[in-house]
Amino acid sequence: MSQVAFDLDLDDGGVPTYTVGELAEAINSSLRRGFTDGVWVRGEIQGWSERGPHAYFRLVEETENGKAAVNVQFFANARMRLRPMLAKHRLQLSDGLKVRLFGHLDFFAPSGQLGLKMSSLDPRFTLGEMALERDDVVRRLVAKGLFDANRRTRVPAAPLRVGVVTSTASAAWGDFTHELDRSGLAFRLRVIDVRVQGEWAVDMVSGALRTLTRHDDLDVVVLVRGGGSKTDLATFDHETIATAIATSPLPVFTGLGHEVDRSVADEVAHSSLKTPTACAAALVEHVLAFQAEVQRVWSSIDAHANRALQQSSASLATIAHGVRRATVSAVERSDDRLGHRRQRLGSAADRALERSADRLVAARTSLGRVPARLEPELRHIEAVASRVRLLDPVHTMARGWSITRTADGTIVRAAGDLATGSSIVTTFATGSARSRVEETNT
Amino acid sequence: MTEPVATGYAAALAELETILAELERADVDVDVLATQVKRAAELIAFCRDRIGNARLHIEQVVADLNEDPG
Repeated sequence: MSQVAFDLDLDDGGVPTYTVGELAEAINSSLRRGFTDGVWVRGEIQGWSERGPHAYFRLVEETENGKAAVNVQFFANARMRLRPMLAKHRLQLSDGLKVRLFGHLDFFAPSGQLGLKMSSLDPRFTLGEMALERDDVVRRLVAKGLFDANRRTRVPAAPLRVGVVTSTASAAWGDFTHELDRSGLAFRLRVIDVRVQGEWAVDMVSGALRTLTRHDDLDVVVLVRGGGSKTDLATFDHETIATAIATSPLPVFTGLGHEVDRSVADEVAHSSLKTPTACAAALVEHVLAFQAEVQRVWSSIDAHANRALQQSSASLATIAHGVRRATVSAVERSDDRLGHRRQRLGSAADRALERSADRLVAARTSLGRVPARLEPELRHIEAVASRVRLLDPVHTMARGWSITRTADGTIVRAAGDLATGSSIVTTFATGSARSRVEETNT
Repeated sequence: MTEPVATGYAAALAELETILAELERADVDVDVLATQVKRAAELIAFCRDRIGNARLHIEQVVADLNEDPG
């Protein structure tokens, strides 16, 4: 800072001595000369507080050399003036928001503090910063493979068991439940009441999401809130919430109350709807589609079954008719065959009787010839008898032949078989004689 | 008969043929000869009897049949 050229009494070697008031005046005068038209400063809002119509905060920068901070006063008149512009961009000043603001430096003598009286703000800077941060979060989620992880989960056919993360005091909750009630469908809700804006919003929302998505008796988890400022929406750009959604095994539906902007939470959710009402309607639509499909399938089954029954009935009638026709025909044929057989039986019996009579006559004739066939047999027997007669020794002995035996009965066939003096027995045709051998001649 | 004629005409005739063959051998024993001749005579008588009976029976049957031509 350059030396201020005040016209003052010099009483210490030419170096002027100020009273405190004079110094304050001098500082302010110097500041006005140095920053004639005010100054643009950028940094992050911290320690936001409101007292009456005025607001106070510190604008902070984390630098390599440590923290730098300047106090900012945002007085009522400036706030009034800037309100339409902030509303237009849906910005709400709060802690953590990065801003580029315009003001005049002022040394406030009563407290001895330097401050910046804020008179304007560059909304494009804040929006750009938010967009950059958002992009960073998205980039990191993509790198971890989480960006479209939840979109790959499958919504059950009838998502009736719904986990809800919302502020139950909000209109969002009312709109959501009203839409579900209106459907008349049997939705079953498990809700966790959270703050959706402010300091604790990120932790509460992400914690509630993690709790509900662990339930295996839920079909889907819904994150809803009503409309709010752009900066409130920044909560849903937070990486912690986005990660809780992306890693959820259950599909997550969002309805964050913005017609235009999409948060990172919307980007990673399975389905993102503009409003809580639309979110509820999407669930209703899923269930109704399932109902319609079930109805369609049932109708199809019904039609198939009826067709099959009709076909079976027709086939049965045809078969029954066929059976009747075939039966009548078979009976008629049997009748015919029976008649035919009766005739054949009559004639066959007649023929058999005739043949039997013929055979009987032939048999009788043959029988008559049997005694004649006995004659050769008799002649044969008689021939045998005469041969036997010829051989009978009785006849030979009758012609004068005799049989000589020794005393022991042995037949004598040669004279040499006898010893002189031995006794012999001679058998004749009638009777026998014993004699003694006197001499043998061989 | 010293021995019953066994089973019938055919058996008797076969035995008769066997006896004849033995009797016609040169070295036939005279004692055996007498016995065999006696047996042969019995068999001959049996056969004659059978033939006679058969003839009578058949003639009777044929006569009966002729009397009743049903």
